[in-house]
Amino acid sequence: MKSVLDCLQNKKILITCGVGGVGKTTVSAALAIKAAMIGKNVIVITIDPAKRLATSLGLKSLHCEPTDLTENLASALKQPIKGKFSALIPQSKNSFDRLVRSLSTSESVIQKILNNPILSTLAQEYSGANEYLALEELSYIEGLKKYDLIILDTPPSRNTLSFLSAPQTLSRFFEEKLVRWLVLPTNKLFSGGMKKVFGILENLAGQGFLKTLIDFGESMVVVQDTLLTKLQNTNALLKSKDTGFILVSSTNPDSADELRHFLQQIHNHNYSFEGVILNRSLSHLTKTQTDADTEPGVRVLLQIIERETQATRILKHHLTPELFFSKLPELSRDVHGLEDLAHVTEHFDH
Amino acid sequence: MDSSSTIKSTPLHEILKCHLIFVHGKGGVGKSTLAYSLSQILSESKKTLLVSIEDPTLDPGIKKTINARFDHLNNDSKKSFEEYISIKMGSPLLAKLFFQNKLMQYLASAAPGTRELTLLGKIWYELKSYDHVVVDMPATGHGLTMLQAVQNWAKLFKGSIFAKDSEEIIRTLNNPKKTGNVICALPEEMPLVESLELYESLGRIIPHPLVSFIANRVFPLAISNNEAPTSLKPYSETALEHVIQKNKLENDNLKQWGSFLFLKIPYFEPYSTAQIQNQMVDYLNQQLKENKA
Repeated sequence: MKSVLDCLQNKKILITCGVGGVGKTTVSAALAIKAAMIGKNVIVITIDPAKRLATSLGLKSLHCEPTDLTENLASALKQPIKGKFSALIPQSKNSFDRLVRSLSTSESVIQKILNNPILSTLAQEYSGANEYLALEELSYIEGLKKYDLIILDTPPSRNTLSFLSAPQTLSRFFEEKLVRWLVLPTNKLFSGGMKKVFGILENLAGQGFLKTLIDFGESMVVVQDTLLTKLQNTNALLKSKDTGFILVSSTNPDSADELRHFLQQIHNHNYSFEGVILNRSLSHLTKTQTDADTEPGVRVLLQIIERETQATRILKHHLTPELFFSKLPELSRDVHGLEDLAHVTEHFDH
Repeated sequence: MDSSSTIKSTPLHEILKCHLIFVHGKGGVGKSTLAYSLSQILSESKKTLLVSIEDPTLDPGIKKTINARFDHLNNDSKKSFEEYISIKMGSPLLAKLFFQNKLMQYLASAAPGTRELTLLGKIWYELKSYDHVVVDMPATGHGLTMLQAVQNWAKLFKGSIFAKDSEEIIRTLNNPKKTGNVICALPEEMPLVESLELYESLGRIIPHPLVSFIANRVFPLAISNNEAPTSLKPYSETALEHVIQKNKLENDNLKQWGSFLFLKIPYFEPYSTAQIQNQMVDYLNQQLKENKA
């Protein structure tokens, strides 16, 4: 059976997925710390509106560029670190600007795109473009060729699947004829059936919208090929043998359904799946009946442990032997900093 | 993060007077159970609609009757968009032409925030048929996207029908007499901090939002743990030790933000969703009756 350590040893990119609230960010940081301890030059990237990683890593402010935290880690662990440990918490505006700038050498084209209202709303933090921007950051950091291993903590989402299909959705959008339609000569665009449809649209969305839309089309057609190539490269990066996906799961029995969906999607996309990390496991705790009888908190805890046992059984049932299954016990205190994260990493050994 | 003094938690009974109530929080904090329980409590005397946002376990766009005063809608952006356009055009035939056009399909799926705007537009549309509408918001970031989208549309489509509707929605959202928020978090340090960050983010979209903070799944403890020393070990060995440490930690975390900022809901024994809902309804009703919420 594969282990987490094998993945850290052999992969160049690891992507952690999972629904919100399972502790994906903590697990990603812990994976990166472990990798640094075994000698890797590693970076962890998280696109996280809640800035959780910054807090637990002790980053005072957010940087749009990688920050080397090896020394912080060494002093928290009171031991030298074999590899190097860096972190990056990108900000969506910055990633977006860099993406646009990479598409063209012409300043006027760049300005036109950056100033288009449709695109600038896309760059706002809560505009739902986080999935694309996470991938943009990944390909940017990969392109630097500075790190042995990149760990990407995917943006929080209701389901794990939206991230997996992000590159396809976007390239399909640009590959189809939309952009070309929009740059047809105006007389052609507004003839026949289209005229009627545009009339309706103009009525609903206003005249300004149509102008903005045509501007958007014009800008996009100029950079379309570059953008498509970029998306294809990102897609190839995700499908590469050197890239692995990890599912971070809770101890909830619902997590089995999530795993089933996830495996299906991974398979459809031809991505390489490594295994499951069950976070905040409680099965290590010993219990006595007397405690349960006198203490309602213990009774609740025992039921949670029972639920975890069920979840584990179902999860294991869906996993083939070449995948790993790793349990991380819940700390008895809040994860505060690098030292607590280092405790979590100890459990990757078994 | 500013100190807790700048943050005001509105009692839950005030929030429950609002026409529109958003329940926010991260995934896995029991938000859906809370939203269901609040709807159940409201429907005891008032006509109430619970709205889920594209819940994959429910049929898309279907409204289910729970009881005479309690409906549950699984809001679906595609269904709601079609409904919205049909109403606006006043002609199903024209609407059909619009939807069958490929370009329109692309625009509908690609224009930033269309999905979110339609979801919110549908909620706003339902308000006129109910005394209360409770929305089980998608996990933090996605919920804010929904509120942000309306602001974007109002700006993008100035002077249009879309913009007028968006502005009307914004007026409802900004009116504290009409709209209330519940932010639900687990009683752990970072989730609590995050719920206050969410409050700030919400304030950037809706000025002066009316918010009730709730800490869910607070571990029960019968024996006094005052004398229990804070463990220096990262991991507990026994279940009792873990519970005591957890309880201590939760209390410390909650105290940090003032004893009244978060309304505490205990961890109900996890039998089944329905049983947890019943326990939560009973508990909240009790708290409301005793003027504690």
